[in-house]
Amino acid sequence: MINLKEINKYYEVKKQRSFVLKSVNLTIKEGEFVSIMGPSGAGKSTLLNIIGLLDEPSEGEYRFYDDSMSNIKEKKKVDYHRNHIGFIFQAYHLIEEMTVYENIETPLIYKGIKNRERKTIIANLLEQFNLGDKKDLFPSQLSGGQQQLVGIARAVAGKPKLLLADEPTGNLHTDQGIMIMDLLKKLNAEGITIIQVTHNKEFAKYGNRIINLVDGLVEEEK
Amino acid sequence: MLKHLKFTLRIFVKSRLIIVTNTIGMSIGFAVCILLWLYVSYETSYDKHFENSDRIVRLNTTWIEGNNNEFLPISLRKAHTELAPQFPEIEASVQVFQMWTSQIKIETLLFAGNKMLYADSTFFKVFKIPFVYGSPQNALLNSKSVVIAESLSQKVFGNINPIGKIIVIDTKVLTISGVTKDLPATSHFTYQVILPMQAYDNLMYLGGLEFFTYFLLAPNTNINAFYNKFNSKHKELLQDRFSDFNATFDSFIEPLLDLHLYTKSDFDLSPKGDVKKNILVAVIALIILLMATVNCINLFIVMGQNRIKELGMRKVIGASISSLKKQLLYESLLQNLIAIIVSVGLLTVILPIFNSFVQRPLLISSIFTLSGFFTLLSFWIVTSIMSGAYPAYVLSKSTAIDVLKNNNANTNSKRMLTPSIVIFQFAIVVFLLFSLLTVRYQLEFLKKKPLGLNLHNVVSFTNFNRDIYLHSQSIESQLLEIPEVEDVAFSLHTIGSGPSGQGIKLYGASDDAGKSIDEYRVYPGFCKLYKFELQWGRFFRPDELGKDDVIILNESAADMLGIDEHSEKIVDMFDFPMRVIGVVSDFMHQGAKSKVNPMELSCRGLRFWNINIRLNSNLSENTRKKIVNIIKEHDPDYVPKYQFINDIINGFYDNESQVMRIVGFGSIVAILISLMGLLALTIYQLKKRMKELAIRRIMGASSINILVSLIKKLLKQLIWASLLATPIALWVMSYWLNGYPYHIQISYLILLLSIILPVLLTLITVGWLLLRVANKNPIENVTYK
Repeated sequence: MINLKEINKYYEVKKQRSFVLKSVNLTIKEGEFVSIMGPSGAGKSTLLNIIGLLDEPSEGEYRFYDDSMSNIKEKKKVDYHRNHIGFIFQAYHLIEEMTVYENIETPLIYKGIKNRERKTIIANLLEQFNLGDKKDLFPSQLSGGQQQLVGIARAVAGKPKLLLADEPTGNLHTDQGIMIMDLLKKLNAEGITIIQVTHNKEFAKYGNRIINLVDGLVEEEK
Repeated sequence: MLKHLKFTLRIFVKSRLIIVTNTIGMSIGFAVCILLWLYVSYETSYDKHFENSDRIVRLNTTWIEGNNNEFLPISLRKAHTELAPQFPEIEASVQVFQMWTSQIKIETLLFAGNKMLYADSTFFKVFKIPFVYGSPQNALLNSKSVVIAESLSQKVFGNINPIGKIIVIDTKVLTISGVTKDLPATSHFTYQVILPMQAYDNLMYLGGLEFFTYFLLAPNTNINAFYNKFNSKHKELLQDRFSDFNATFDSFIEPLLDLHLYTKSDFDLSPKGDVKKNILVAVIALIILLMATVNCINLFIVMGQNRIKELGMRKVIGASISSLKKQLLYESLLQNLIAIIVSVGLLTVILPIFNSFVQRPLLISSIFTLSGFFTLLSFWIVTSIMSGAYPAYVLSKSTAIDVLKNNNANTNSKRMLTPSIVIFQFAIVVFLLFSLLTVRYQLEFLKKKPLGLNLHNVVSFTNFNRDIYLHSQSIESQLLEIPEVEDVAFSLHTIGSGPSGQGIKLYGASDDAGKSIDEYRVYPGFCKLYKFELQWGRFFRPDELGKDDVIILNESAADMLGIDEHSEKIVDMFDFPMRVIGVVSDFMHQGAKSKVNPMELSCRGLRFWNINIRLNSNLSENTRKKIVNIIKEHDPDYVPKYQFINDIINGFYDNESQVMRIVGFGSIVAILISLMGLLALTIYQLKKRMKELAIRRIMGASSINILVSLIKKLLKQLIWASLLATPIALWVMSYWLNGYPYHIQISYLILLLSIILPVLLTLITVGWLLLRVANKNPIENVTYK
């Protein structure tokens, strides 16, 4: 599903290259649950962003389902975000001026799904994530765990094949973290490929594969 | 759509400071632009209501004497009687003679102040004005017939058909032969009464330039060919008639639809439209709208910066750049729609004020017409695109990475824009203030300039019957018995209301040496009453009343003729010798705005229209009554009409006063809008820098250090703005001042004031805010998110 070959990411500061990622080679198959670990500044998030088409590598080749992702057009990128890739963030990043219902609905609107169908999808998700009674609340009225549930519901509403989670439990206490990880595990079992970045060794074990990233290099693969 | 609206309203509530600032600014901008549109559409609608208005033209005359060109909207009687019939292109021709307003007696009632026109019987062929009663064909055929306007008919006869009723104008008994609809105010002439040309003794045989001449041209006339042919014939006619003047002539024809705004002629049947003033109003309105719009751009970007997260996230979940642009433009449209609605409300308050500014009866209902709707629609869409497009472009480029990394890298381009917007706005404020102060000082200078005559407490009574002159002596002696009356003098002409035109030369000079000269016909005592400054010689003696062989010249006329105290003093105006008995200093009878023309005073006529009275105090009701009663003794039908000569002279500065008010209004609004924008901008920028400032303080910066660092940047922008505005302001105002024969010098003190005043205002507005921030406990801000 994902194939990274000799990926470099660097910034030029005063003609000096400062590498964030160096010669990253990585293949991820459909249905995997991969955890990326590593110290701060190791390039974990950058790697996730490149996979999620939010950032571009400076060098190297990235293939998604055998399609090259180098220099893809904005329109194509939008299409991937609408139909193939979902995101979850440590800080949830819900749109504050929208209710729970509207936050989950927005990606479906962008995807062009008709109103009636949207209603069914959202109703199912709200039930599945136990958010039924919260649908008219705004993010600021929810606890962190609840916000992250909405974040996940929003990410999976469009039925993506790949879910990218950047420290999804980073802002949560352990109980809520476990709840979120269980949910991710369940989604993976339903067939969604998941790549998560985490600092938490316990939560990393939810994945069936752990990648360690140190100073921009994939050091070991367990 | 509804979802979109709900979301946008939530965003608006969250950023209410910006939205309120923008709405106030834009609604003022819109209101001003709607006013401009109302005004311009009014000004450009003149005379369009006449049927065939595109085929009606007017003949004009240019009188050229040396370098002096006089453009006159009048021509000779023969242009109508002899020239017009020779041209098949002319379908109908008419001449109009404007009479002073006169008193009308209908049955036992008296009506004063009616506008009267004398016209040929072809009048209604050229101007197809609808008739309420009677028919246009024979309305003006009979010398005893008269046509009146519907409003006068209503006032006098109510709903009764007045055809055949008798009215008396002065002493003439006339029969009403028709009642026309009133002409709209957007006509370059109006009337209450039209009389046939032959109703007035000898009017048709006047040989001078007296008549306004209009032609209805045949359809498909080759305009240029006709103009050329007719003008050359007309020129010959003029040259022939005025061969004894040292002058040459030209002729020009102007379309009816151009008369109000573009006529080249120096005067007209109604006050001419002023294209320059229209442009000034337009420029001010557009400047205000532009300032409001750039505020919007600036604040939209600031607002967007607080929304980078939302916009970035939308991209992550599948929004395309174009859908984000659409969303941002939608917000701009919605905000401007609110502003337009507010502006219509605002208009109901400011329209009456504006109407008295520009002296036009503009109606708010005009915006609820189809063209009004489309105008509002285009204002709305254009300004929304202007204010929304750039922020949409900048903000839609923000990426999710910006959100995740918490930076605004992609919106940094706005940092260049914000200072340029502040500089632009401030430069305009400096320019407007400098213009305002300069216009104000020039106006004051004009009003204070010594006029060469004394108008203090001089009032002129007028509007009596033509035979009142028979009682002049007893009127004078009776008036002088009133203790408040200091002096009395009669005159045909009114100071300030325009002299007669004559020709003059030294007696015995060749026929072509004649030069044009202005004339005031006055009674002896007139010069003394107005306290003219005598250069040499003497004023008229009482025994010289009615004599046509003595005149007094002003200094310019004496210079023109080369007459001084020691030279030969005999001149020729009517083919007989006249003695110059004195020369007075030039007196500015048209105010200090125009140069004084050569002028002579004569006492050759006995008829007068004015009783000039100098009072030793203000005109009290009691004194007024006493004066009116004395006049009524000699003219029982007298309807009192009087004016202070000072008011007439001050009326010459109406234009300058209006310009000052328009620029003043523009300056105040521009300053308000820019200060509002600056304040909102500063608040948002400070919010972003709270943490940085707190850290600075923790590291040891004092409140003053912080304040200075904050203000330094702003001051730099203000200095750049002043540098930008100064040369433009100096150039424009020098150009404006040079249009006056008497004007002030450009003042650098005023320039300095125009810079310092807004700088102070800005510092006060922004300063208190900065001071509050600088004094804040830094710990509060370190924890500020």
